[in-house]
Amino acid sequence: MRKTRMFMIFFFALVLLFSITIVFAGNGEEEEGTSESVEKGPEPVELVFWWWGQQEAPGLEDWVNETVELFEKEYPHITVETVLQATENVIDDFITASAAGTPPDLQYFWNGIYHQEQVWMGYIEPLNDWIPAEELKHMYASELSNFQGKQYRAGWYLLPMTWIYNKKLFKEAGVPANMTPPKTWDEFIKVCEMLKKAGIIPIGAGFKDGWWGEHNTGHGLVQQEDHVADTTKLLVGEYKWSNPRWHEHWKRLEQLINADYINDDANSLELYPGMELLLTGKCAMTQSIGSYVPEAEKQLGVENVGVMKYPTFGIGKLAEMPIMDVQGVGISSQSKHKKEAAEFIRFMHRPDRLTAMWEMVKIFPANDTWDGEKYIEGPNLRTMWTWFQGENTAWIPNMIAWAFDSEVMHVAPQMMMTGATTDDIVKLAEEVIARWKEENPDLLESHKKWAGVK
Amino acid sequence: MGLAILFVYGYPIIRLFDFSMRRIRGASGPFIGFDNYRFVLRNPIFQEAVRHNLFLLVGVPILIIIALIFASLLFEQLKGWKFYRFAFFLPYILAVPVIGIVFSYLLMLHGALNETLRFLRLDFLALDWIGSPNIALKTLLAIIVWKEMGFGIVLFFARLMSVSEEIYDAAKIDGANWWQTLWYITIPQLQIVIEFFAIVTIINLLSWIFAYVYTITRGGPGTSTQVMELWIFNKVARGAPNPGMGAAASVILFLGTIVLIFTLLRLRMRVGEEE
Repeated sequence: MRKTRMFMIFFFALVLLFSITIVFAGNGEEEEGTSESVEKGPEPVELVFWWWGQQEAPGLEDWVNETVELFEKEYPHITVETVLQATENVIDDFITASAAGTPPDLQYFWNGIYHQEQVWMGYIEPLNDWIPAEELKHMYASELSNFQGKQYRAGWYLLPMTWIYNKKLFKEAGVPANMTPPKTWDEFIKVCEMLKKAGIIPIGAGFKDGWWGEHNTGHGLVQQEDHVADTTKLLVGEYKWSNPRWHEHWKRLEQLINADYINDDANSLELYPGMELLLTGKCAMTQSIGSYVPEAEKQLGVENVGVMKYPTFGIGKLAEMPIMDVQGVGISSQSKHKKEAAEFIRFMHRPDRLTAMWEMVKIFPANDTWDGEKYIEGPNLRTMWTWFQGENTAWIPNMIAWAFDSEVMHVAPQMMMTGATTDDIVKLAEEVIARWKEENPDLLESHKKWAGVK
Repeated sequence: MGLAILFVYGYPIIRLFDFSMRRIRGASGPFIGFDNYRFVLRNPIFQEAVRHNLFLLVGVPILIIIALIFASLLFEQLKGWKFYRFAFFLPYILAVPVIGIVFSYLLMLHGALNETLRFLRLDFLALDWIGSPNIALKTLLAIIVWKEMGFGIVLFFARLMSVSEEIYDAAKIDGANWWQTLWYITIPQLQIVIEFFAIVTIINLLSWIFAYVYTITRGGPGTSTQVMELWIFNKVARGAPNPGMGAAASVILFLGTIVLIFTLLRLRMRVGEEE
């Protein structure tokens, strides 16, 4: 008994000692890098960079390592410690670390609301004071990175939001050349019907994890919008989901589901297994992302793969525009080395690093000064590159609060698959919005400011 | 010593209560009283999650009955009983996410189970096990029972091994059949262990099933398998901006579980006193 008690006392003393050590070690680190040392320059500086992306862009880790190595050679007094984050931690870790006063200097950020909420908490530094305007404007981060005239992220790599189709299956179903790919909704329905009659699943999808529903809203709702800020106007209640204009995309989805144009097991598949139906030749079309195209070409052959926009049904000014999302990087507002962190971002955007990104990872660098025409080969990749060079629009699900994301967009296709109608989804959307507004009055105001709603 | 324990266990709970009364942004936020509790309790998805958790409690008697029967059969030490004991316990030692992912593949509409059923011309049994809102929750329950019963079987079996053989010999001499032996000897002998297993299972089904739901159905289709833990997760993780509501729901779950278990124990004490 006495031995047990002694052991317990020893154990808790050890835990206490360990905690104290960690706390004090943390404080020591903070004091090392004062703003004074930035001014002196040659003082050693250690930048910490938390990032994500290897998961959706395999090979990016090699590019990051090489970039760090070259940067350290050019700036011998600066070292960069990189930490590759897990998907589940990308947002939460930065928030927690910022709240604790120990954030990294540089942080990878998803677009739109995924970093704007942290901007509103004061955790992210605007880049305008640290990167010359002439350079910053080319580091394409989309308008979703701006808040009240300041830009909080630099773009890193682009994600064209595309549909992919299988040309071989189109031919087998007898789809004429003028509808390969379909451009309007009527053509789309005709193509789906032809494929179905030929015994081919027209659209491959996986609803289980919800992301397909978000993607579909991204492709569909934007067609009804004149400006991406319309999304926020729907969120804050200035526009109503009950207005047919704003739920037309769900009507179209309902049409596809009811006509059996989508695989019948969509509710038991997740987004990527749904997409993989295209790779295995089981379906003719799927909504996807640009970085997935090379894999489709590898599996099906370049000649059998095509990229397309979601066929047009919308009446908004954005209806026919391609969609371009972009991943980015920003600086913590608590960083003691903002100048050096900004220098690292500028280094990431040097022409040789942009070309290396393409050559090593085969993803589009988010910089409109990079001469992609010179390097990008293959019809699909070149098509998507032209989307970036021309007029395009942002990925609007990145403007929507998580509550609406998870409680409406994610579940809408699942519910429709089991009999719910657009009216049911509209009712749900209105209820969720009403609750969200009451529960988050501060976020409501921030969203309004973000979209310029008075 | 007491202080250390209070710090390790008490501090997180105090912080949880504190969080539940704030509109958390980052690590803290303004005090808003019981608003988060009001928001949680009126939320229809949370209400549905509570109903689903309560439905899953059906698993408690099912698990007890199955574990009792199999433990008794093992106790008979029929041929190959050691293999059966291993086979029953095996699912329990597998990690829940592994089981979740395996079952989510097996039970897809065109998964291995349904393809087998179709091959056997039993198409009418090939249901959309995890893709239909009418079946998905029951499918989850079946998987949970399959995984958790091993613990009950081994627990009951271990207790039975310590029961004096004379009692069973006496029953045999008196001509008791298998069911009579089970009812009049085995169950009374196992009473304490059954109560322990019931309480552990109740706690599991209320607050330890996140991994099943997350890996198998993600709460869907729609909200048909939403449970309290998943709802809390969606409020506190993945960048959700309102951890205060998640904290309030956690407090409700915590207090609800304590009240339920306390009531059961009180009931047990009263029955014991009457006996």
